[in-house]
Amino acid sequence: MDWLSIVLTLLVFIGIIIYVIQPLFQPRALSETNGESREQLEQQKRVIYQQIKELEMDRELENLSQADYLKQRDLLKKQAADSIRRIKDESPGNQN
Amino acid sequence: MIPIVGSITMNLALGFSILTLVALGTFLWTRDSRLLQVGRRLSLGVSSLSILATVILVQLLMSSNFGVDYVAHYTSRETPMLYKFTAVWAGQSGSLLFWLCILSLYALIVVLQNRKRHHQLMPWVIIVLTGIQNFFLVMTNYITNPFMATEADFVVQNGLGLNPLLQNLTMAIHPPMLYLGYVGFSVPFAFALAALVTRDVSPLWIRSIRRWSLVSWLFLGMGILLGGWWAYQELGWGGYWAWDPVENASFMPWLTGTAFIHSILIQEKKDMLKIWNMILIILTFTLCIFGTFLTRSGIMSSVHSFAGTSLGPLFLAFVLSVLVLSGILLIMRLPDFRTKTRIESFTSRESGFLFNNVVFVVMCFAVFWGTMFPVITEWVRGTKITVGPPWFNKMNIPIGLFLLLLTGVGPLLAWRRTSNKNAMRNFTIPIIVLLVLALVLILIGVRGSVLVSFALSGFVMTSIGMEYFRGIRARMRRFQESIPVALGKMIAKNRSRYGGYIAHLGVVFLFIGFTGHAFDQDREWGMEVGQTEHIGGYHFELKRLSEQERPNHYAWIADLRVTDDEGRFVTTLNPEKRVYNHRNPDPDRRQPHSELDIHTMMNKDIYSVFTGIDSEKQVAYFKIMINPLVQWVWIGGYILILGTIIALWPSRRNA
Repeated sequence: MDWLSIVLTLLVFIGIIIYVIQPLFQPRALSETNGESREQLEQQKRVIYQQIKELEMDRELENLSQADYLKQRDLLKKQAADSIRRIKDESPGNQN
Repeated sequence: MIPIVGSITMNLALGFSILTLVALGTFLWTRDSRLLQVGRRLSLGVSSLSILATVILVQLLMSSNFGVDYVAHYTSRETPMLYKFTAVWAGQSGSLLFWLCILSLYALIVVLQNRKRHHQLMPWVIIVLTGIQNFFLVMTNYITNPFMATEADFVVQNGLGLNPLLQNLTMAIHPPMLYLGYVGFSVPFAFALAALVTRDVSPLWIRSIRRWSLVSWLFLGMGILLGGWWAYQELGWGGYWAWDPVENASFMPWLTGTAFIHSILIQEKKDMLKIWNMILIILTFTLCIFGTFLTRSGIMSSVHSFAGTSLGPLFLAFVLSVLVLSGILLIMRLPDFRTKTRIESFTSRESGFLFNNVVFVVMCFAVFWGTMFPVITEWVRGTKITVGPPWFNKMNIPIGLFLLLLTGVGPLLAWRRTSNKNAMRNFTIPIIVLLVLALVLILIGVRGSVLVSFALSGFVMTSIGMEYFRGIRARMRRFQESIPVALGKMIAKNRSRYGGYIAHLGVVFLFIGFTGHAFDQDREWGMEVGQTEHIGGYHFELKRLSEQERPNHYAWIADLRVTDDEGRFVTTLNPEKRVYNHRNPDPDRRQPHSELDIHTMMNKDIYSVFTGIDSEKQVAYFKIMINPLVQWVWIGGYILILGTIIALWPSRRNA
């Protein structure tokens, strides 16, 4: 290994160290410990939509009774409405 | 100099991993988000450095740097380039580094993919993944370092070369597949532990890890199948599964992993089985590490295991720590993970899933018991008692057949409860098929587990076919689509469900293939040129015996003409007897090897092994086997893979 390689290796190493410790030179900020991000809420909504789709599919295939279907559908609809409401609350226009 | 760079890289990775744990630990204490960022960046550093160390080892192997002990042990100048590359996982230290490299790749993806997701979980996920990396870094730095210099007071001109059995294309793919599977389960395990610590009972993280679990399960399954394919093509005993401890070591996490990918669906859909899922993923990850322990501790003798080393106790300690710590955490969090939802009926799809889960775990326990029996008897009685394939078959065939039955019953059950009307409508046709098949088989003289297996295969195929039929019919009625359009759209819109059914169809093919084993025939004989022998309705004439010197071996090549009972030509088989390192003056260093030739048909394989040669008398010795339905095993594997890929394929919206 020649000198140039040693210097290059050292430079890469120093670069990595700077990259790693760089956040420490930013102002101190406390991490959010509670609440869900908008993305998480969106994901939750997608999960519920998917479940509604699968429920419809199961009904068409007669994999569940009509009573079970109605009960499940009502529950999922409520969850979807709740999810949409929470996303609206989180959107920038509604922030206090 | 490059080996030193490799060692330094690994040392740095170890240092970074310790710092990651410190930074994230301090973040959890102070909630200072700067430390979280530092921890994330450090973890990216650990992964990048570990991957770099593997790249360095590859470079050393490719350039035949015999100053490194590992390179000198597993390659030689004559080793083809492909196998110089695959030598990375041929030995103990290299394979551990390769394991670390895959884990690091996964960790890199997880950290980058979840920068803006799972804020609560991610610090713990990184801690768990880094903890596992840390263990492997300690191993590769201090216990078995792949960059160790060759201990010789002369310049090593050539290496020992790679074991000829490993110089096979399948063997080039099989270990990475297995590792991708084994290591992949670290990710769902890390999420599960993080969820336990943070008391996260939401279904979101479950959805995130379902894909990881399926990918890992797919790789593990592919690895197992490729291992079977390799054994069948290379080892020359005519089979693909021998219940060898190392084979079992990969099969056990596959079993619990299969249970997990089924029960996780229930958690996602019904918010049930949360604790059970935690148990399953902890068990699966522990079994992955336990498998590594079995392969590397030297407590088991197997064709696949590495030589006994001091790694055993460390792996065992790691396995026990994982089990104890996760167990304690799970017990502490039991109240948080209990759900109010209960299975309402014995005849519901939920209970079908739970049954299948329990049976998978029972099968895993049976395999575990049989695998560990020699060790247990040695501890208790002082003498090693080994249980062989007959014991494993006796235990697992009934369990496997029950699983096959459940594969067919599951889709026919309704969610929550199956009404009598529903049961009649769904079960009638599959049961008729089962009974008719059973009757036909009895009439042609088939009995016992073979009869049950074939009849159940028909039952499951019908049940899957009916699910497809009902789905297509529903779409045709609703959207007035043609059959192909309805089929395509139905699969595209419900990939998880219909991909799963395709995977189940693959399982049926596998069972049919396994059942064919009951009809295997074999014979061994010595032959001179011109002589003819027969077995299983086929005649084998040795037409010619030639010799050839190749770059890394010497070969005797047989020319066996195969005809059937009516004298019709079937095929020509060319099995070879080879001697590797044939130029080595030390006869002990020469390695004999039989290269098989197999003629494959849909209903049977003609399997030929050139077992030996008496060159003075010009007599060649062969073992010929007629193996029915083996092809179904491989086709079943392809279908299983296809089904899983369909189930995994992201929908446009998710993508």
